[in-house]
Amino acid sequence: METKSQELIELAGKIDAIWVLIAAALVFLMQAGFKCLEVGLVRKKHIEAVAMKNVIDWAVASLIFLVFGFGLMFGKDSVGVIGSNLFFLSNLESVEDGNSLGIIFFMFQLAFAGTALTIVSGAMSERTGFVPYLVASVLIALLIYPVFGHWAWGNLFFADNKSWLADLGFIDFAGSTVVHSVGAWVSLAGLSLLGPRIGRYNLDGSPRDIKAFNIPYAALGLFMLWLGWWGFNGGSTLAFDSSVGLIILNTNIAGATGAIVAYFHCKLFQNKVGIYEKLIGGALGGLVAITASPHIQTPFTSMVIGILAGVVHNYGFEYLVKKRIDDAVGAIPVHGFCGVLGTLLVVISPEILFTDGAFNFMGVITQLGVQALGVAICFGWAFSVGLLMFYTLKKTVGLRVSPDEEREGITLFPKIKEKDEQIDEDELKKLLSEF
Amino acid sequence: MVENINIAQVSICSSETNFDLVTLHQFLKIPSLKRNELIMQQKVEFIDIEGGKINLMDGLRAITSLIKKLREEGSYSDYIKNQ
Repeated sequence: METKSQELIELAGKIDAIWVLIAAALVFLMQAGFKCLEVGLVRKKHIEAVAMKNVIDWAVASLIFLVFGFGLMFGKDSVGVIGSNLFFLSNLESVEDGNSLGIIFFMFQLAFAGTALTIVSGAMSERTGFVPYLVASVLIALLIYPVFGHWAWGNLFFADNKSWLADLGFIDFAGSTVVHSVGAWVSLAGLSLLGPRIGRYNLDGSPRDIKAFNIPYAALGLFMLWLGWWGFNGGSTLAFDSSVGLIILNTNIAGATGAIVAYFHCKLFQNKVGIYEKLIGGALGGLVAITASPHIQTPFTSMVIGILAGVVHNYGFEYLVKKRIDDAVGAIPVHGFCGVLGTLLVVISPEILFTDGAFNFMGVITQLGVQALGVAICFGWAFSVGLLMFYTLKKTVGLRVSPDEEREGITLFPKIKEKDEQIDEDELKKLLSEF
Repeated sequence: MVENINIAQVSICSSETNFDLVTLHQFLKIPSLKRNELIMQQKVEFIDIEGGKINLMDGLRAITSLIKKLREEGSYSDYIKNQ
């Protein structure tokens, strides 16, 4: 009898491992989804550079997260700030108190790290140089993502690890903040130093329409991401249990509602400006927002999250355009604003709203405070370190490509153009004297 | 006023590998000595609203006439401060 139950436990463990590995594969598929989405939304001349940056993202994440990032994020806590072992996965399989999924846990988390990185490439596309982008990817995988990840998820591998945000009760089930907002706030830091694409704004500051290369291709990217999200959220249980079905259902509902609401909101209240981009972005916004709590929401509350995400996405999109923050693929409204929304809306879960059938006012306020703290810490960390990183890059290897390269399309190895203008020096001096 | 000259942005080559993009107004706020040095070294490119390149001399002529007009109206310092 005992042998039989032991066999059943082992079988359950194997099924959990298979499920998490399948989920990791689905999250990896999101890299292809991001590639299609971003290539579809930028201009044709930049598609090669955008696609190659996506490849670089994954390659960098695979190596840097393996050697340093995973250890900093999930290793044994040191001074309450970072992990201090598991570098290069040393002893990962032999540690007794670690997560039994071992390397499969690493593969799943690696796919998440890759997602955080690739958000930045889309937002800053069409004008960022290849070398600075490569360096930025390394630093995000090495420092920015794992350190905040340790604060919020540091107890996922070693259950007794200190993880100060998680210990306060911060809930971010699959990474509305940990993955998506981190990527978005780093992007925001980069964009604030980079400036808009040439030709993006009129003289009066009003935006000029920049035509996306291929909206159907972007829609294909959306579908790949949407499928990947089933693994992103469904796999975050780290076990194949009865909650997986509801998590995937809630995820799907929020994405669908976000898409519909963003579409009609744009049609009715925003003069259909960028309606296709907003339809796609609204779906992604709903998916990002539900990511913080699909395990404790109901289908109804998931719908509420999707509705609000659709509206927040559209207003966020227009707000950035107005502020001349030129996010080429609309990544910040999706991953930043909807990430914040979803992290705060954790509190609309019936599990938090009610205790023994009665409305738990203090419980809701406390949880909302903890969620807001997590959101603020994430912004403060990712934005400030991102700003410092991009500023340093700008002053050293450079950040923005030349106007010629921006016009003709960014390449991995840009040609340095000779000055081709014939200048009448006498006239130049005369003009400058009047300056 | 600025509409007449059609310069939407100015690209400044700040190093061999970095280019800064500023508005015309931000460009005019650069101290004239530094600005002239950048122009003499051809590190400046004027860009129209569609993102196209404006010939350096054409851009300079347009800016000079803009500055002249603003000075005649006595509104140059307001333009620099307020925009």
